[in-house]
Amino acid sequence: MFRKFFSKGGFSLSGENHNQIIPLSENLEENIKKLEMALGKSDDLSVRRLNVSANNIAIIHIEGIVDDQSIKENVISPIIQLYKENHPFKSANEIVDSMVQIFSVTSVEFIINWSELLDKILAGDTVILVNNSAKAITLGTKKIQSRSITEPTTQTVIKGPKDSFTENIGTNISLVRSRIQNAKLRLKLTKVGNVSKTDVGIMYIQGNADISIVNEVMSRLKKINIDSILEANYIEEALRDNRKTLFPLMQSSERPDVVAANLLEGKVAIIIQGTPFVLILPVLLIQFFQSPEDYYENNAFSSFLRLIRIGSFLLNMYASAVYLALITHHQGLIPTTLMVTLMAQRERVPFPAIIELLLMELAFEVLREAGVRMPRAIGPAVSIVGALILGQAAVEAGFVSAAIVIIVATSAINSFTLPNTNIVNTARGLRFLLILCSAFIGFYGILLCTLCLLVHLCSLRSFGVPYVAPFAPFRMGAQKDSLIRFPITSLNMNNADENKETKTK
Amino acid sequence: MSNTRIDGYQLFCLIVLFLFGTTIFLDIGSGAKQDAWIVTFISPFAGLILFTIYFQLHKSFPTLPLTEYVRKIWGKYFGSIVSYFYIIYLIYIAARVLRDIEEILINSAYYKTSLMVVGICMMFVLIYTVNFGFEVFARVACICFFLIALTLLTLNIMFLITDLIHIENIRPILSEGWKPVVKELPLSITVPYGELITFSMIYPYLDKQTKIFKTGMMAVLFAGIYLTLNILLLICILGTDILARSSFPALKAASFIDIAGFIQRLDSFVIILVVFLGFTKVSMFFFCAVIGMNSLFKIKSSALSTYSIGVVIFLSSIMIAPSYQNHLDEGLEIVPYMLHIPLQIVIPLLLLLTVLIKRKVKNVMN
Amino acid sequence: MKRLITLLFILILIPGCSNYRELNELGLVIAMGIDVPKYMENGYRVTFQVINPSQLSPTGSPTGIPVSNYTVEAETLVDAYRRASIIIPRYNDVTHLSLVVISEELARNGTNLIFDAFERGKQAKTTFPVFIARGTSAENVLGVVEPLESNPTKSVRSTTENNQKFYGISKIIPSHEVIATLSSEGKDLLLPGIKLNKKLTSKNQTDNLNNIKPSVVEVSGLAIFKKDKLVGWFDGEMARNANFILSELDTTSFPIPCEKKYMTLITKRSKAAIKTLLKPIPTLQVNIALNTEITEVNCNKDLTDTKVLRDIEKDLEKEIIRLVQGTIQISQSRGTDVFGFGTKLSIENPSYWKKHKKEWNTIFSKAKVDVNVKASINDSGLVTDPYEPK
Repeated sequence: MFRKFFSKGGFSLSGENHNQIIPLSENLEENIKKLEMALGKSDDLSVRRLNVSANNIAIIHIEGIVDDQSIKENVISPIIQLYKENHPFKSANEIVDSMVQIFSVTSVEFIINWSELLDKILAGDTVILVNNSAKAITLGTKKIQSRSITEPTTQTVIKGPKDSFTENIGTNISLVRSRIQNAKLRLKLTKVGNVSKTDVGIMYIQGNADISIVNEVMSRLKKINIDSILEANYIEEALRDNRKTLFPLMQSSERPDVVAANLLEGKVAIIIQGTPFVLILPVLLIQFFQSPEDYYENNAFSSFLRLIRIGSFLLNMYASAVYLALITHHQGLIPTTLMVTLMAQRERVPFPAIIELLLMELAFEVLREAGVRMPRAIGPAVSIVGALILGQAAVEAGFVSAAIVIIVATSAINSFTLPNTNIVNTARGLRFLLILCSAFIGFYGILLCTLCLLVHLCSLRSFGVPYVAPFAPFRMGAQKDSLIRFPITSLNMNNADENKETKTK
Repeated sequence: MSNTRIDGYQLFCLIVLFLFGTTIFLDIGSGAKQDAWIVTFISPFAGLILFTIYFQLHKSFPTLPLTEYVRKIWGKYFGSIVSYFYIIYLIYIAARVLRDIEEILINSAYYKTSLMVVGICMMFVLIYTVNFGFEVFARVACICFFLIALTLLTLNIMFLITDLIHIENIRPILSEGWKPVVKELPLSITVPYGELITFSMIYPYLDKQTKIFKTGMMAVLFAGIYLTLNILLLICILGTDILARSSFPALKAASFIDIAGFIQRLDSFVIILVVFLGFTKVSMFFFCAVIGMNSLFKIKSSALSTYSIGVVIFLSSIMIAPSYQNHLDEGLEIVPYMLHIPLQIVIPLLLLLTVLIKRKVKNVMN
Repeated sequence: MKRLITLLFILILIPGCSNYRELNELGLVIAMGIDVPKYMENGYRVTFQVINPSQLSPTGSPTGIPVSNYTVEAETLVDAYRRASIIIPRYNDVTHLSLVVISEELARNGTNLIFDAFERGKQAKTTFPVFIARGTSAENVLGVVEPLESNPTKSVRSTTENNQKFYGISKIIPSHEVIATLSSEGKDLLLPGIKLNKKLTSKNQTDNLNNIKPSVVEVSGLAIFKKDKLVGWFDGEMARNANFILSELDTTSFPIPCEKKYMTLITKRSKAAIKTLLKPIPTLQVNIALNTEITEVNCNKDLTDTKVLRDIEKDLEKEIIRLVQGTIQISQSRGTDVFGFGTKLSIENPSYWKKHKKEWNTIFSKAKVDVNVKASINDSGLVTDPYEPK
């Protein structure tokens, strides 16, 4: 049975175009006809008419999004029972008031205006209309078919919890609640999206999280003027600060343990109905290199792996650009024997080095896209064909030199080590910028581009927190968990009011 | 402007990077031959004295940059003229350092590229940086500090691994007496340490007022020790003759490295150091010039002022000298005595004296 | 957005004067040979050895010779370099220069400031070794293709390196050290020599590759320079002793006579300290300490007896003293101080040096020589006494 959580001060904000409050009419048939018109005589609207002490009542719901069993047992049976008892009611309103006692449903509400009625029916509640009464009852009977909890597909770990979020917001919230069983965990639900009216929930821990950030998030969510929210990225782009940047300013995760750990550090999580990806904000750059597995394994080994991840990220960005700079501008830096081999390879290639490099990079991006969409049956075969044989054949045909194939393959493989794909896409884009700079002026161009990137990174703020936080305003204490990880006993993992900038995960 | 807060670590990184600047590559103090390291060893102490003078001036006017308190001390008209000279001075030094960077790059790896191209590219990055404000720059300096420390460490380890260091090159110590050492001192004090006066423009941006002196002192001593070690290393590797004759001793030393026939010709590696250190130094001057300009002429800080000063610095860097020899001569003969000593030592001393006298007069009057 | 587009427009104008060069446009010069000119009065005859990369291609088939030599004559080195573009089909590039050979004739006339072009130039780095071609021209030395190494440059360098580590009669000197030594007042130059051990039998180079006894480059002693002119040679063992004195010996073998036959000792580590004593008369003092090991015994001695070992050590010391004195005397007779006694003096006694440095060469030629050697035998291999044919 699905349980809806309403916090003490919670509000449930639906759509934006209910400026007028249209009351329900007293006539049952009129209401039903109006409802059918509003829904365009939709075939999945089910109306069950009953009679209680000579008054017509109608039980209305939309099929598919309600719990049929619950309606049968907890709504229709008690009404029929009531009918059998044949209690004399003085007015329709009295019927309405006393009927609330008989339903074994967890949430019951009265509604008196039209738009609320529409919203509730579309959300999956059952509405009971009584003839001659302008009050209606809604019962919480929402049940949506959704996927069961499976392993995460994108952020897998070897040792650690293997459950992941699903598309159902209730399941997701329950997964987080079960990990933090504390009264300070707060949840605020709203509906975002003019047409789709998607449920969006904000979770944070009172006392850990910066309350100004929470309020800021709430106010920005209210301001979103968009038709639909289908995935986390819609909210991410709508919520970001007013800077144009390629770098992700929010982290998205599929794993409840990551979300729970981040909440404990004082971050705010945004859960969205319809997508298993939960947004975590504010975020620091170093967090994209940390995987939850770092905390589940030995700390020396995890530190080593973290450094490898950072190294492979840098290699991904710089490998092609540095190679191009070396062979076109700074031939003096290459050792002589390697130089001779490279020259021998390039003898037969008709393209200049930069065209060759760009061709290979684009070919690799195409291969990657094709690999994502290939049907499972022929996937492995085509990938082996694509990677190995095409590359080999291209070298032998004289289109490209073997060294370029190796460099491009190296940077591509290095892009898969990071647990978070948002930043990897950034790196892929920046790689092209670096290649262009290196083709213009070699190492100098690469260095200047790096400086520009550094300045850009240092100027970014994710909800007020500087993006390069543990390094740039250098805090010694925070270094224990940024590049390498110290043992858990020496990390500060147990207090609620730490400086927000020092926490990293 | 009052929202930006720089803390102690960032100030330390800024001062150290600023002092390293281009002194690591250029030929400072080699007139004293193998005693050049003594020159570099004595200079930081004199630099500390200069730093104290600037700090005392700052303490009398904690919220004002240099250009403002000059006007307060010496009156609006005369003070404005002096402030204006300081701003021009800052732009000129920025152009000199930019010219140094361009020359190093063109002489080592980019012999076909022209000066203008190298300068334009650097200027784009500088304008982009200055547009963001000083706090962002301080953060960038922090990160650059780590990168440069890493690069320097790698270079020094490579020097140690190969057989290049001959300690006998330092002896005989002081064979010519103290005269050559003393002759080299004025240049060696003004070039990295006297330029600390630019920090007087940004002290109002700092966070904790009380620790400036301690941080600054530590930074100056740290930089001094490292620069001394650097010169010692260069003397040991190159020998006094090549050191005196080469235009860029650090590049030459780096080109001697040959490990296992595999890692060789590393002077392009030194380009990393040149670009990062040069960038920090020029942006420091650039920032202070922009801040001075904005406060003196009461302009709101906007992209226009940044762009215009940037273009001025770039064009000056091309125009100040027709050849590298001319540039060096200017820097060694004319600039220290006509520009550095008056503006870095004489005028601040006079300012300090004026402040002290005014204070005494006020005390007497009360 | 508009700003970005204007930026891109400006940046597109930049590559006009950029340093972009493709790899297959380059002609890598890996060695230079400098001779006296044949058809000109003054100047140099320079041979450039350029790599032919297609011969080394992994997918191609190596049929020919991996390098090509191009020779031009010009007044100066840089002029020759530029003039070589008449015949070299690709863009000359000296960044990978790894060998310079100077012919003996040129060295006897005086090398002058031949290395200035390398020191001043922005492309060549002064880490390449310098050799003297002995009894032949540099062109011929660079023209020999051996079967064991893929190109002549590598064969010259690796033969010398191997020799330096194994026998010690030669050494590799990078040119920045050559320049430093030339410009120092207390030390003169010693350069390794190379010669061909037999004439090439046929005109066709590749025949040498097919010969089971190919003609090869041979390491041949150290050249003694006075200022910048070549004045003599240290041959064979004398060269080794010179290396001894300069502490640049790695390991070498000493045959010691015993009972009409010989036994061989290998020195493992040797260190020499040189000093110039001034009282009562200028004396050149050399103190050598070495560790040795017995590796071959051709006579019957009882090697387990420490007295016998002590005797062998004394023999060795006497032998080395004799050799070293002979070497220093050769240097004195030429009037040049190649071992650095003057530099040592300038460090220890700067005032005397300042007064007398002009006539140091004469003081050096007349000074007394005092050599002290301390040898110690560490072990005698895996067996103690040699086997006896009975």
